Amino acid sequence: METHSKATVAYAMVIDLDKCVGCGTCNVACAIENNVSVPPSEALENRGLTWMRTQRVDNGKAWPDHRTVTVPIPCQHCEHAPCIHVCPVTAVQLDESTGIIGQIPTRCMGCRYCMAACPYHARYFNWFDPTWPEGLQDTLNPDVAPRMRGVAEKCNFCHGRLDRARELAAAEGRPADEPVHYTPACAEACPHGAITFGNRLEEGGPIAALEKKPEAFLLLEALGTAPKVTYLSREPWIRRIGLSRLDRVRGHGDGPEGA
Amino acid sequence: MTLDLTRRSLLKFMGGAAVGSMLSPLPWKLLDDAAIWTQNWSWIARPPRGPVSHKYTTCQLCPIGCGMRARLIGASFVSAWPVAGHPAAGMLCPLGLAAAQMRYHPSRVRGVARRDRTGADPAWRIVDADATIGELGQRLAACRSRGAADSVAIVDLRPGRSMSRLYREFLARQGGGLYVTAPDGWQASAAAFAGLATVAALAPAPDPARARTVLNFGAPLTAGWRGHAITPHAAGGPLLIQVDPAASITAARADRWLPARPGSEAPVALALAHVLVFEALASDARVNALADLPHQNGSTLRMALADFAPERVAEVSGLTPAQLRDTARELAAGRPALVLGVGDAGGGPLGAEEEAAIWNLNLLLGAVGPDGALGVRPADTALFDEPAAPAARSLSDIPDGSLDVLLVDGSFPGAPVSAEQLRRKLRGAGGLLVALSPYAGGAAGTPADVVLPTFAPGEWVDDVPAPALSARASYAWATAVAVPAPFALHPAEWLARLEAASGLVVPVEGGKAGHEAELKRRAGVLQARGSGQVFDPADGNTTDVAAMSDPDMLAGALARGAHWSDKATLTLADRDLRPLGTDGAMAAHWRSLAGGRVEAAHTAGSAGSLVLMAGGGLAPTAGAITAPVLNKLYRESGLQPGSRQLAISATTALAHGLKEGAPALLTTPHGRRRVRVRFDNSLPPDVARLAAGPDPSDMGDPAASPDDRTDIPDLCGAADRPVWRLVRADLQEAHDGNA
Amino acid sequence: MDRHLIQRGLDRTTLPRFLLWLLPWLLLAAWGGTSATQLFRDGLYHTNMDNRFAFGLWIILDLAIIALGAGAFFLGFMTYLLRRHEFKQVLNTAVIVGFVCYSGAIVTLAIDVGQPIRAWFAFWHANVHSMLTEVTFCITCYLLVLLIEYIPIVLKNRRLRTVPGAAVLEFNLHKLMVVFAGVGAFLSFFHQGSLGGMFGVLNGRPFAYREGVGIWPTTFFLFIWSAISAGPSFIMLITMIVQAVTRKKLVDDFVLSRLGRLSGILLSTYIIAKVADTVVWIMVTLPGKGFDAAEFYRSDMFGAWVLFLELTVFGLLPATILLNRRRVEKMPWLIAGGFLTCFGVAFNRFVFTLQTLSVPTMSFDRFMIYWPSQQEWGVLAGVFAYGVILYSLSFRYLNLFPRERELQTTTGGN
Repeated sequence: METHSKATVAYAMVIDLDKCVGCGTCNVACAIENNVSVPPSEALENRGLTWMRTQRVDNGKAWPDHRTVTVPIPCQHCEHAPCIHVCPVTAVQLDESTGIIGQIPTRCMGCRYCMAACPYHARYFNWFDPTWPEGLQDTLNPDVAPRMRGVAEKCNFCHGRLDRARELAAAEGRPADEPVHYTPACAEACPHGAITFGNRLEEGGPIAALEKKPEAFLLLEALGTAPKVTYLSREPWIRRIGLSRLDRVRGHGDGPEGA
Repeated sequence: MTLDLTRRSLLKFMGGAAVGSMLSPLPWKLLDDAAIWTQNWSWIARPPRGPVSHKYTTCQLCPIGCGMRARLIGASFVSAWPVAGHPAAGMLCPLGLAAAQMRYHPSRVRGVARRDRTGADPAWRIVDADATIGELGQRLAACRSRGAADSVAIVDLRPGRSMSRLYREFLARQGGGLYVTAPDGWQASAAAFAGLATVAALAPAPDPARARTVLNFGAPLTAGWRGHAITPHAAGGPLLIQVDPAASITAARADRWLPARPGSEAPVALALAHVLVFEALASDARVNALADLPHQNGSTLRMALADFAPERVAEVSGLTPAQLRDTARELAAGRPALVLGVGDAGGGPLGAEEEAAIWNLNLLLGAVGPDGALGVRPADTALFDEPAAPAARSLSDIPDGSLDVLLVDGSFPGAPVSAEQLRRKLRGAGGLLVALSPYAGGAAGTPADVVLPTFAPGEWVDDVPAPALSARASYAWATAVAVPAPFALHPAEWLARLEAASGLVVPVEGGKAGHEAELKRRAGVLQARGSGQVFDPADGNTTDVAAMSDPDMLAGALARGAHWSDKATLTLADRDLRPLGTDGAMAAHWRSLAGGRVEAAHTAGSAGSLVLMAGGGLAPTAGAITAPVLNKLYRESGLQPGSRQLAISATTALAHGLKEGAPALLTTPHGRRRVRVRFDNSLPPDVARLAAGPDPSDMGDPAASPDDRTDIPDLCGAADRPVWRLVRADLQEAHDGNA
Repeated sequence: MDRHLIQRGLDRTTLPRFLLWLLPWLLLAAWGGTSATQLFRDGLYHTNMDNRFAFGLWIILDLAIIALGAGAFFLGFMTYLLRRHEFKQVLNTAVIVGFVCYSGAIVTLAIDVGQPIRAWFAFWHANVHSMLTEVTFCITCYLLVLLIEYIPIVLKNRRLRTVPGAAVLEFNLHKLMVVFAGVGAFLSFFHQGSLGGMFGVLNGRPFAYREGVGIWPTTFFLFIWSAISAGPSFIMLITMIVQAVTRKKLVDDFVLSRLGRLSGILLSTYIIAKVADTVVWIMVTLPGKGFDAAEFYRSDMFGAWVLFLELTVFGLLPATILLNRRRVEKMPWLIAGGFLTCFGVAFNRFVFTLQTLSVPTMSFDRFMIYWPSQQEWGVLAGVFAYGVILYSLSFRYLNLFPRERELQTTTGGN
């Protein structure tokens, strides 16, 4: 029987945009860890599979006042996820014991309703048959099942790594309800330490502290989706990218206009 | 009683059976099985199975040589991860992370491959290995017998390795062929420094961690300096001043940003030196001694700088005299200060003149020396006592059309030379370019006529010398973590076979054994030197070499992925320095650049409304082969610009009548290229940028016309000019959608 | 040649002429079939949909034809439950049009999903919270109802009536029709609503999201309302087209006028509700989510004209036309009103599907547009052709219009 309690673990991520340089290492680490296939070259930006997508955002000004920030956007693992209740086949599930929104590719029938529901565009569809160049299957990660064409997929906070960590904890004889610590591939690979991952319910833990910082903001907080991915920046204009477009133009939110 | 079977009773029976079977598990089990069946397809890829283990090695996909933890499932090398705390770099870039995929790159050749580039069918064909080797051997023998040793050359794209020694020895035995290197921007910068000193075989070792102020000429420091991130001042790092035409991420993060015009690096550096010599440090006796040091031709640094007053440089650089003065004073007050050159290495070398001007700033600021941030270390050739003959030559020193056989080492997927630069060296149609490469693509495979298949990264032991401009001397092995492909050979084995086919007797210690012996010898040299530390990636511990009693101990550690490093140990006295170069010629070169690099560019036949900057992609190499997964960064996310995406500010593009995504034709004096417009408002007006780095997204784009340049260096005239990072260009709308 | 299959007393064209009429539709159907084959074999990359435009032409088609097919359940409801027997004249047409619309939608959906072979997971792993589950259940059940309603019409065929038992079955089914009309009305009511609910519940998509009334968002009710407004108009237009093509008088004019007026009454009330809903959305819903409606109507593709068009040209205008007793007596007015109503409901479904996906959510998203691929158009053409062919066959071999014999005055047609 499952013995975990509901209230002790909620995995969350904090991404420091002042450290992110847009190198794409997280994107590639994610794809390698999670066996994300590479569609044929005719797959342009909107047909790809990038569970961790890094988006360039600028302040809308001309040189020399132009400023750019790169924003890595994984699935936000919303507490009030818009994608769960829409799925007709129960292929999207919230794991109450971890807060992770899981996607079951073998159950997904590919209706893409969840993709229409997600305001963060964090869900991807296998438009193509996922194939690997000959031999490349030998570099796949056995902890993550490859998907098939015609199903949706997305970031699951490296669930394969969580399973490994749980196996390790069990092998060490730790109780099953004790929260396990693990690091997703993107957080491990980020060369600049921009990604912090952990249990936000851990008192005195790094996530709880970072989430409380005045630099912290969420993407589209007003929608009420309550994402578990928090962003940090000291720059007021960067903090405003989390608002809807109009708010940003009008300079709502904190800080002076157009910093 | 008779059994009366009516139709009604039959129907009743069938109905009852149907209802009854619903109460049995049968239909539900069938449904469940069907559900499972629809979830398992035979064509879904199956990952390897087996026990998980890890091996440590060094990444060899770029010169930095980051530590790498290889994850193995059974014997399969499935992925690469960074090694925290590794002295070279505790990180991996996307190239390194995808290293496991390099073995299965679609362009990998599975036998000796050959193609007739001029014929009707230029496709690669697998040919008989022995016959090909025999033919190549005869060519070598023919060159040797007619005393034309300089019609045979080997291009070593990463000199300083054990293979480099083997290449030189091979050429020496062939009667003295040409050993050719092609320096990238980093190596060119180091060479420029060496040209300012009278001491031979030394390498500059700038260490930003020891500086209070860092002035950086355009290098994308946000990605790190030789593997090490420079933290901003706010986070305890040095005060960072960025000279950069673009409002790049580094410029935005820097404490000061000097938006100098492209190509004005030399005048800006000289103006700063001017202020240091004539104003900020005018009373410093050491600075005066350096400024007034007479060179062979009688010129002094002070005389050379006289022309570069901030007021005169302001116009060409777009910076105000006050900005230049304040920056020079900030450097003088913020010592130890360090000034870094190189720029965006993807665009090729910054230029010997620029680099010399930049290194001079360090000399004036007293950066060289025990208190400064600029150390000096012995060059790798000196460290490992490499043979001096044949001397290393630069590719540009080889006359065009002079080579019969050109061997290109393709151990690295990228190189700072283009296919055309290599092919121009061949003697007409008779010359053969032979790549020792795993791939029928990339820097070596693309221009080749013959590919001799070698091991891919991760399949063999190659050594990784210190990268140019690294703060410490270092040495490591890229160890074999994967099972070697059965159709490939060690490059040293190919050399031995060529040698035998050319009629020479292969030495006893030839081939792979010779390479192994050289690797061990190098470990022995380091152990005998007794200096430096060895970092063990498995446990993160560091051991002093002095504590290693046996060369085999060090060799064993290197084979397990350990990393040797030593602090910069050489000292350089002021009397060893020649600010205008050992020949004193720099003053004249600088004068010719007083108007900036762009104006100096060859602009014949072009109105040149734009300045085109060649920029770096992920790796500082053009034409590189990259793992398929990097497509995520190019096509699928657009995060990295492809080499067909012309970055240009919206206003400039619209002034040319081009909207975002519009196909366009870019013309330079050296060629044309079809591109797509990509708005990038971080660029100043009338400046465009094209990434010269690896570009997997170029795969599916056929050249639309014969003059459509596939290599950005060629588009910028790299075959004719040593500095090709800037060129004037014209931009027109292209009318078909096939760009 | 096929005389023995045609109802006695009905005048139908010759078989060659009939086949000639079918030919272009068969070609279109072949295009659809080819497209579908490609899509089933290779996957959905043949479409121009992408990760942002997860829904495209087909979902718009599904929503539009299901809304237009609402005439079937609504007229059944009016005839059998409210005993408005004048609509019996067009009821068979309504049933066949409904059947075509619903079966066409299901076929399109089967092509649209990435894993058609798992389509039944919607029943096996049903998520009771999903509007799409409700839609799937109701549409499937209602299609069965339509089939049952269709069978008696088929069984009245001259040839089939000679089969013993067929007549009995037909008679028995006919007696039950009132039950099926009730069941159909109930099912239809729910899935029309759920289709609207599908958009209204998207709490991450402010353009589509609507406040709840009870457990349903307002779009649930608006979609029902607009569907039943357009349904009668669509049946009216189809009947007119059949009369024009066959050059026969098939129903009394007053039936058409009543259909039009029925649409007018429903449409006028719908427009009032739609305006109220839009006002609440702009004033309350959007500000609460941090958005402003003006933001959604700022692109070249979707300007404020979208809202204007929907509320006036496709709302107020046809409502005024069809509400007027004298105008609905005049065919040109009736056609104009009916057409605007039908086009309006399709436009509404188009806006909800496409504009929802093309407007940005995050501040740095770009406005995007989408144009269907050849294969997507092919499927659309195929479904359309299937409808025409099925209706043509039904018209030729079955007695769709009870008053046809009495009204027949001219010749020709098929």
